[in-house]
Amino acid sequence: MHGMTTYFIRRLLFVPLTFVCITCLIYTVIRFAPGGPVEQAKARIQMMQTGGEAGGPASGLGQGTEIDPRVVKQLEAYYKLDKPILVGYLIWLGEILTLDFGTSFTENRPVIDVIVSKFPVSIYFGLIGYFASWLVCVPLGVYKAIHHRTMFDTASSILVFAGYAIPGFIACLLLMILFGTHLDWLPLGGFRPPREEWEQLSFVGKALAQLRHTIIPMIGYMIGGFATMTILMKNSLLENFGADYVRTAFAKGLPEHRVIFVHALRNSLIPITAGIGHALGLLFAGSFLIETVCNIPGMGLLGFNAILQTDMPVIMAIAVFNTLILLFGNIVSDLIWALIDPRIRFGGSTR
Amino acid sequence: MRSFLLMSVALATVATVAGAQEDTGALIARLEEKAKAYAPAFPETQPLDATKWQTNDTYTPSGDPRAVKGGRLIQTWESYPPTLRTDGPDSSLVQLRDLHALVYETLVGIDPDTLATMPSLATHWQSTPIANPGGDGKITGEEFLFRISDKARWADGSEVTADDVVATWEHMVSEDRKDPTNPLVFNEYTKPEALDKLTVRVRTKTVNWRLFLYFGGMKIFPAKYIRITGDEYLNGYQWRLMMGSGPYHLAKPTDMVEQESFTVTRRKDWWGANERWAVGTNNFDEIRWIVVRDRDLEFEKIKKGEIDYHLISKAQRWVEECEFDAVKKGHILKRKIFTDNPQGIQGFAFNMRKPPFDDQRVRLAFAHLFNREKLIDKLFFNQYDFIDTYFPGGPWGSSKNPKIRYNPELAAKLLDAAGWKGRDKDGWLVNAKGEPFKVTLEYGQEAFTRIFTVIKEDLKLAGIDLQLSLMDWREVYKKVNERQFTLAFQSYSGLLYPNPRTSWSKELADQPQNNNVPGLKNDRIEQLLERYDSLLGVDEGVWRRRTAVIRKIDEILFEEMPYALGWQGGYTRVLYKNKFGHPPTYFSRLGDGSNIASLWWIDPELEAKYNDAVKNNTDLPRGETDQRPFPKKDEEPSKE
Repeated sequence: MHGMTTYFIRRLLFVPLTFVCITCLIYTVIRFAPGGPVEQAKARIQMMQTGGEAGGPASGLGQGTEIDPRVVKQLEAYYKLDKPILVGYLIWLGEILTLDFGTSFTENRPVIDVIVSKFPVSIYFGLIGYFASWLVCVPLGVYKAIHHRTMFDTASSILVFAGYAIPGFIACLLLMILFGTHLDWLPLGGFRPPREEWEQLSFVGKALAQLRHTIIPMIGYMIGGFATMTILMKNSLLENFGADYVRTAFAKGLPEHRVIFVHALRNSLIPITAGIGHALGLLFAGSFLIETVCNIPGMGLLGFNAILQTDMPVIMAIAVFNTLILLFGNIVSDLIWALIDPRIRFGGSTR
Repeated sequence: MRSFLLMSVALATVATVAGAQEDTGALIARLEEKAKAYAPAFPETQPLDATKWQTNDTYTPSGDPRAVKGGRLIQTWESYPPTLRTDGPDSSLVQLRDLHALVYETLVGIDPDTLATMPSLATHWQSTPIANPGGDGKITGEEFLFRISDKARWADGSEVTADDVVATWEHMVSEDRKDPTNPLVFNEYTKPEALDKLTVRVRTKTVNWRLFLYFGGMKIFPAKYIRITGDEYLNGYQWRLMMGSGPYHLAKPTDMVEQESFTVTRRKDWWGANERWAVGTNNFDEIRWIVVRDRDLEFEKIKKGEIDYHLISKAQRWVEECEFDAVKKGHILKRKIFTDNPQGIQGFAFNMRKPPFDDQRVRLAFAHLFNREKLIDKLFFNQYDFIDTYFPGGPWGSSKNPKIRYNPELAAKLLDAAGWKGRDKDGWLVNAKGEPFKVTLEYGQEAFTRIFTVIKEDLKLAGIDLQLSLMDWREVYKKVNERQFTLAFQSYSGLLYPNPRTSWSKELADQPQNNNVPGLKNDRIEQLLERYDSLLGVDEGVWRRRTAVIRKIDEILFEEMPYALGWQGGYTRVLYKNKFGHPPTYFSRLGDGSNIASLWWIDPELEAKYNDAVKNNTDLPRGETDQRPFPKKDEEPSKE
């Protein structure tokens, strides 16, 4: 136990150093990447179209013009891009330690507000998808293991792998066309109905509306993970079916359901349960493609747009959260492994 | 110890955040207090002597007098704007342009038929050249006077005055607004003067006829709110719409749902409602933008009727996917509306600074190998047309330009004359030094790969090796701006008033970061640029002279061939619910989809029929898809 404690303390002590290395690298890469907010402003002006209507604004205003260098310097200071990279990074790090994540270039709001507004959406779909996966994949995997090499096993494997092959966002689009446009059973995207409609619903109405808006994106999020979890569950159970202790249990005359669900299943769940720590990162990450297609303002879309538009404060904030979640998530996973399986011990010899 | 440390961090955080920036609420309250103290004084207002002023009361209004006020228009934004400001960082976006055009007004407008000046906030104007005081008669600038309508009012009922124009100019030239272009443009003027409450005078520092239109087209803001520091402006109006004099306003804070929707409401007390130029315009009680990030999703929404209209940008979608049930039944109408909206150009830009495209014959040969016919036929469903002018849309393009079409035989002769004779063992053309004709095209949009691949194959037959390199668009943009390219595919939006100097001045040819991407240097064009900029005045006759100059520039550009020009539409493709009334021409002569918000209306009779047809699944008349409401003008401009 002493070895385990030392091991986890050592892991925790490495977190700050790893965090600094990762964020410094990301910061440096972004600073070197072309297409920052100042360059984007220049590009817009060079390509700019202006109005053309009776009573409209004058046209050709500044199109093709080079920006005054003094204004460029002001913009660089405005976007905090005027300092050398290392200095800029240290300033950023100091601000992070005071929980100041800066202001988003593209949304012009405090980054923490931006993330707080989008985080619940990703968490919502992530948690629902994760638990729904458990509810579907674990029983399905158990059933497939029990009925290994039957018609059902084969047919379900085909379906599961077909789901794995279809990208989640394509599945969402197809489902929206079918159930949204043609059958009009489900809405065409959005996290929930428009605000004025939402505010007029009763509690039950809101719950139902939220459910309707959840179905398609949730399927999109889950469809890829179905195969992994189902097959993992099935194979883990099959492996345990061949173990000595299961044969001993049968030999002792225990009923089949008790052998499977009390003894074999518990051990089979270990690989799936221990992955909870890693799954934390997935909950935060979201999926920009699904969020774009389903018009959901989640973390995936935020991160994608931030990279495309070189919105450095947002990119760095996401890097901070993802790094910390990953680092702590891995530690949590290892802890769970150790707790569940007494054979596993870190930093010392096994019993 | 641990608790003490945690507490210290928490306190430091609170102190830092609290002290970092004035609370926005407090800032806005302070700005409101400042506005209350505004009390300008003016000399006595002089009566208007109409003989000394110009005006325009012969224009044909764009709106339809049959228009009915009412209803809500629902349209889309692809992304929520990053600010509501009109100026400063991140403000020059298309979605903001459409919004601001509804809330703010300019001094004058433009008649889309004749391009003559039209009244807006100003009813009369003057434009007088300023001669060199040295007596040599050289024109060194212009003086403009604008007479503001005594009816013009801000949304709070206060008068629009000349001081508002002065304050707006001060705002435009302030560098603390950190706007990329305004100071550059509006420093071309000396500080305007309020001669009286309704008359403002401004002088230009240089000679350029567009300066009248830039100043006259400047959105005017209330002095009591705009005369603030840069920080106050950037922070205070980040998410707050400054009061305007226009027909729409943000009625209540809840009309702005962050990242979701934005709604403006028509002002019932708008001062301009009964003005002749406003008849039949701004008909919707509410205009709402909802954010729909994906174009495919937007298409599904119009099919379902969740939005009021949808502009189609892809030829394939228009041809293959726009005959869905609602269209067949006439519930959703499908229209391709041709106007003279300036289209802008796109095409291959040659780097004329170095081989092989420093030779005009090679450029012309490449243009003749650019098989637009095949692209339009095979990839674009015959939806597009050739760009045969550097100023497509509007009256600017010359009809004398040669029609450059796919002609590999002519191309071969031109290349041969340019020294590209014979082929190497791989089949590539070679020059006198034995170097193969190899060109790299770096581009940033994956969607263009299918287009360039077709072109590559045609060039291969001619012996030219076109190497395609897909990169991040930002890298491509940087390389083109730094002139580190041989061939690039460029596209530019159209301008109502061409500004050829920014694209074709030889002074820009050897400088980076401007629109003279090919590096053209032509003395004749340089002279014409001077001529074009010096054609002062605002009447119809001077517009004709300007048109003649642009057409001449166009013809010389076709001799030089800095681009192998691509394809254009010249129309707007729109799907919309069959409940809208609109002018017989749908849009104004120079209009596009943005006219829907300003010129269309919800026809009660059509709406009732639409609702009934959708409910009972019956048919409605579909009408004709292609609409060409504007015949081409035949008259030739006066000779230069």
